[in-house]
Amino acid sequence: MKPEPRNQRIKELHSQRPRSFGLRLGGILMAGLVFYSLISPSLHLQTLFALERRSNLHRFLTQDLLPQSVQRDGSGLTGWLAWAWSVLQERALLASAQTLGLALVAIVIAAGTAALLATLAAREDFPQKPSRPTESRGDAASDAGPSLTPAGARKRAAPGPGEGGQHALIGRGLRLGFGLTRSLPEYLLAFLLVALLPHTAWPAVLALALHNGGILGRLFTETLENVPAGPSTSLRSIGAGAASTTLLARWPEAFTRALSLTFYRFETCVRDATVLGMVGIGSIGYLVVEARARQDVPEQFLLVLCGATIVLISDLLSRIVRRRLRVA
Amino acid sequence: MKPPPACRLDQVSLSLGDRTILQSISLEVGRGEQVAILGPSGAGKTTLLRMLSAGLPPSQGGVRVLDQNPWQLKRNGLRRLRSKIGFVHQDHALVPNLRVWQNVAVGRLGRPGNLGHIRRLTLASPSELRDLHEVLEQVGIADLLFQRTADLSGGEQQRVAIARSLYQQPALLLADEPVASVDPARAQQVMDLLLDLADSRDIPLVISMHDLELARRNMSRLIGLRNGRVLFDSTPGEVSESTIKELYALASQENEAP
Repeated sequence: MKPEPRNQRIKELHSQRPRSFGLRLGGILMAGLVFYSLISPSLHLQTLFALERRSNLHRFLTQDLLPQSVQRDGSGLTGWLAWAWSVLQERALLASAQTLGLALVAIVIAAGTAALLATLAAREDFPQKPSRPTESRGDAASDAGPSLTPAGARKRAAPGPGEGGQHALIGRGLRLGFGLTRSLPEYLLAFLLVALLPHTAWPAVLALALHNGGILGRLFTETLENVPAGPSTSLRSIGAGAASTTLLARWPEAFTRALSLTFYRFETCVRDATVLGMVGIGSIGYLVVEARARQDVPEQFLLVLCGATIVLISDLLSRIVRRRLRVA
Repeated sequence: MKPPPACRLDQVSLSLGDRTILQSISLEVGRGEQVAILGPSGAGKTTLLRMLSAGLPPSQGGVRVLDQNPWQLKRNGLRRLRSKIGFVHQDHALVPNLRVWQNVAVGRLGRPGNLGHIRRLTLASPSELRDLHEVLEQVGIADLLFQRTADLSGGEQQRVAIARSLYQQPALLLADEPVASVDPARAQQVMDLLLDLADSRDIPLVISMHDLELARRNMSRLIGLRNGRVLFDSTPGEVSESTIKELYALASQENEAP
């Protein structure tokens, strides 16, 4: 083909390419919304860079962040460090450990329950069922003779892999349950549970466990369903039951990914646990609320730093473990 | 009295959706017989093996496997029947993250006792490990007992798959294109292993394959399958070159047709 006709053909093919009108419209609407938000009074960019912001920031860094004792004796950084250490020793370290423990217990409960329920919820591959020619239905028995299988006898036959209405119903119910629990924000769940349970860390633990259990349940189910079907089909073909097939052919393949997903959710759990204290449960978040009530900005700032440090450490550990799991 | 055949298909047809996979197939496989199923891709070889393994019911016709009617059995009966049928898959169908001994031990999963199996596959007793080691020795990979299956070569994995069938102690052995992706020397080794396994237990062996020469050299009966129908069913000596050419040539013409 000569260059000119080829160019013409390319243009034609380009104009005939599949296009999504919905996607384009969605993009235009989204761009319009972003633009509108930026020019609206509450989000106007000018408000972010106004002159008084600079003076506010200066005051915050030079006065607000310094505890009164440091401001009084002018001891500077040494004084601030001594004050910070005393706050850490008295309250913050214990609260940080509690936050971490709370997240750990929650994720263990969430992952354990999710693994168990995902095993029941995961669908097996449904093999395509043979179709029966309508004209021959019921006649096959006589064709085949009394000693052989009539096609109609399939009604009495044991179900093949993946069949069985009861299992499908349980699976559907569990997947609905996963959807419900993960759609309820852990913060709201914690509020509800605080009213129901004794005033300990349990409301926070259970709120985190419920929410993350729903998420992990869904993810584990999908992971199990995405394991290549070959080994399970092979085990079923030699007579293995559904339970042993799932445990011995699917879970070994899904385990590393499931563990990696659990660590990923653990990071989120730690982050959420620092905030959950704000509903009145003993964690770093609770101390932040307390300091806010006393209008103690330096302590609030220190506690927020503590929370961020816990999150960063757990992120780092989780990343190391997940990297190793990917290699394994 | 003549013993009943290991498996028998009588006027079996199978349709999946609008597609007809098998049409009016009648055949018997006797005890100790070694049968090769030949035919181009899409001829219905794997489907036929699945039917012989009591894994797929027919749309029409009768199936009898190991003197039992699979589709009239209850769930446990069907599991027991399947536990007596060894199946070596083309892609080995092993669990990559399990150790070699565990992949061999799953061969007996079809036997009753779920909890016992799970215990055996996590903590095998010394005597069970000895049995597994012996089975692996028979296929020449005894030293790989504790290796991770994913780390093995394709040939080693194939031996693990055969060892699994050996450990299963089946009464009927089926193999779906076990030599499709190996070189000629290794293909003969694989065939030898399968034939030894079948011979030592005097069980019937049914293999689907493409290599006519290999089939002629090793098997006692050849069945040609084309478009879901049996084109020929005879001893290797009776199958002429022209029949084989017809089997593949006709199929390729049909595949090429719009």
